[in-house]
Amino acid sequence: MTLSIRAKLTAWYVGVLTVITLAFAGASWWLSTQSVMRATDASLQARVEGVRAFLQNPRTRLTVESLRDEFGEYAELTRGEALLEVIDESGVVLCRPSIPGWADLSAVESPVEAASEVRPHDRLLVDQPFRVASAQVVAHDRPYHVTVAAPMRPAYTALNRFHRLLLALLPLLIALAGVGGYWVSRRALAPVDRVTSAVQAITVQSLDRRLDLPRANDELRRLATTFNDVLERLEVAVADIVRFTADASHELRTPVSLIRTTTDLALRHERTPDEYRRALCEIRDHAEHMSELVSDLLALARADAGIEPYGASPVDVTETAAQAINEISDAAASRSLTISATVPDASVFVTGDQPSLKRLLLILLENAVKYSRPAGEVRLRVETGTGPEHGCVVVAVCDDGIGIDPNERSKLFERFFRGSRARQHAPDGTGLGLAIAQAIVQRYRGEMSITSPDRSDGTGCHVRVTLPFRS
Amino acid sequence: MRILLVEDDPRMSALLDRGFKEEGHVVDRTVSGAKALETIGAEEFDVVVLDVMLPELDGFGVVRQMRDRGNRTPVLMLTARDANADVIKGLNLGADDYLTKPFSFDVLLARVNALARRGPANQTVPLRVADLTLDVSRHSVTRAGVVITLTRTEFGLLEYLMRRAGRVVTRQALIAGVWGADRDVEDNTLDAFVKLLRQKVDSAGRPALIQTIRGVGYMIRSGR
Repeated sequence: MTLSIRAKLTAWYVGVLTVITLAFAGASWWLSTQSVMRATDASLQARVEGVRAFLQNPRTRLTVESLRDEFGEYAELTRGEALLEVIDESGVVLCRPSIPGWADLSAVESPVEAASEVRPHDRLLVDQPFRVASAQVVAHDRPYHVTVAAPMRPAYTALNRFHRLLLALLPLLIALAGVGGYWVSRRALAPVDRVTSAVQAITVQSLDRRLDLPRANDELRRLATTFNDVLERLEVAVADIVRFTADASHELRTPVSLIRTTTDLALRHERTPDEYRRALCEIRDHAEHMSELVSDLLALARADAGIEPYGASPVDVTETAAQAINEISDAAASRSLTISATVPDASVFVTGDQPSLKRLLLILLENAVKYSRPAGEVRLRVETGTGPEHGCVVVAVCDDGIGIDPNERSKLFERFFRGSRARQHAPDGTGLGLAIAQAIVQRYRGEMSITSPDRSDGTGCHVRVTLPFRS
Repeated sequence: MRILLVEDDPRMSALLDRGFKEEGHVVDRTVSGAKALETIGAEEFDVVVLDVMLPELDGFGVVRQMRDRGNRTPVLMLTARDANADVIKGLNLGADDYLTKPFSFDVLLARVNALARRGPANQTVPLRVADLTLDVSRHSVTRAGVVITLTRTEFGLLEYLMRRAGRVVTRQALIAGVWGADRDVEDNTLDAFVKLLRQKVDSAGRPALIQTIRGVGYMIRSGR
C-alpha cells in the first residue's frame, strides 16, 4: 500500500463514522417505528377497555336499541374517527363504522373467539393501512365482540418522511466525516511534514542544523529530539572523517613535495652520477615512507569501518611475542641495541587473531627500537596480571630512549601526532603507529598506558598493555 | 640575496637550502616560529620563506608578530593545505605571496626573486598613521585603541588618505578614488564628508591628523 498516513487516517475516520452513523440511523428507524406502533396499540387497548367498562357498568342497559343509541352518540361525538364495531352474541351489529371495506374486515374478524386479550395487528382496508384490535368483552354473562381500529396512513406518512430524511442525511454525514477526517489528520500530521521538509533540507554540508523542538512534550517532540540526536552523532562522525581526510592528505603531501623538490633540484643542473644516485635513493626512501603511510591509513580506515575481520580464536601471547622479537632483531642489531625478553614458561592465551596481536607488539617494539639511543636496551615483558590487573595478561615494552615530552603525553594516541622529540630524532614517521596500536588494544577490550616512570625529564618510555585472558 | 628559511621538516629544509645556495643566495635556516622571530628581529633579510605548519608558534603567528613589530620584509608562505581560508588568512595577516606544497622549485625561485625585486612593502598591515589604525580585512578603525565607527564612504576616504600618508591628495583624486571617476560629486560634498570624518577621527583631544592643503586637497600625516 502506498497510501499516505493522511489518506489512511481519513479512510479509517470515514469508515468508523459511517458504521456509527448507519447504526444510529438503523436504531432511529426501528425505534421511531416501534414507538408509533406502541402508542397506537396503547390507544387501541385503552379504547377496548373503555368499551368494556361501559358494557360492564351496571347502569348500562343492554338492550339492542339502547346500545345502538349509546354507540351512535359516541360515534357522533368523535365525528366518526374512532372506528368501533360491537357485535353481540347473536351476531347483531350494535355499532359499525361507515367506511369502505369495513364489512370485509368484519368477515375476517367477526367469528367470536374466546380470547379476551387484545392483539393489535395490521390490516389493509381498500388499500388503506389500519391497525386493528379485537376482543371479547363479557358483560352480564353475555359476550360481545369488540373491534377497534386506527387509520395508520398519517403515522406512516410521518415515519416515511423521517426515514427519507435519514437516508438523505446519511451520505451528507459521511461526506462531512471525510472532510473533517482529512482536516483533522492534516492538522495532526502537519508537524510531521515540517520535520520531513526540515530533515530533507539537511545535507552533509549543513549537519550543524537542528530541528526546532515543538513546545508540547509529545510524540513529535520526541521525534524531533531523536532526529537531533542522530544529527549530532552524524556531525561528530563527519567532522572526524573530514579532519582525518585533511590530515591524511596533508601527510601524503609531505613525501610528495619532498620527491618533487628533490627531482626539481636534481634536474636543474648537470650532475655527477653519484649525485643522481643520491637523489634517486632519497626519492626511493620518500616513496617507501609513502607506501608505509598508505598502508597505515588503510589499516586505520578498516578499523574505523569495522571491516577488519575480528578473530575470535585463542592466540598465544608468549609465542607471538617470540615471533615479534625475531622480526625486529635485525633492525635492533643494526643500531647495536640489545633486546631482552621475559616471558612466562607456559602459553598465555587471549581471544583475537594472531596478525593483529603481532602488529600491536611490532608497533611497540619498532617504536622502542626507533627512538632508542645507539647501544641501548629494549625490554619486553609478558606476565600474568595481579591485583587490579587480575584476569589480564600484561605486556610491557620499556626503553631508555629519547622518551616523550611530558606536555605531549596526552596527544600520543591522536592520529598523525608526532612528538617534538620524535620529529627531531626520526623525521620520517607517520604519526599513526600508536593510533593503530590503540585501535587494536580496544578491539581486544584491553588498555594501554605510556609513562616514563623513573625520570622527570621524560626520557625513557614504558608502554604497558593489559589484555583480558581468554575465558 | 639573503633568504631566511623557516621550515620544521629537516629534509625539506635541507633540500631548499641546497637549491637556494646553488643559485648563489645566502640562506639562514630556523626550525621554529619563535626562533624565526628572534632572527628576523636581529638581522636583515631580503625574503622570508615561511612554512605555515610549525610547532608552537605557526607561520600565521610569525607573520602577524613581524608586521606588528613594523618589520616589512617580504614573506612567502608555504602551505600544505590549499584551502582558500589559509591563503586568505596568510595574505590578510601581511604575507606577500604563497605557494602550496608540493610546488615547483623553479616557481618558488621565481617568486622569491620577484619579492626581493619589489623590496620591503611600503605599507604595514594594518595601515597605521601615528596612533590611528585601519585594518582593511576587518573593516575596522581604531585610534589609540578606541574603536571608531565609520560609514562606508568615510572608511573609503580614510583608507585612500592613509594609503598615501604624508602625501598631498587632490580633491579630484580623492573623489575619483572614493566615489569613482564617472560620478558627479561636488567639492562641497567632499568637504562635508571630510568634516564628518575629522569629527570622528581627530576628536577627544588627540592631535589632528587630517590636514587641509588650501586650494589643493587633503593630507594625512602624524603631527610632527
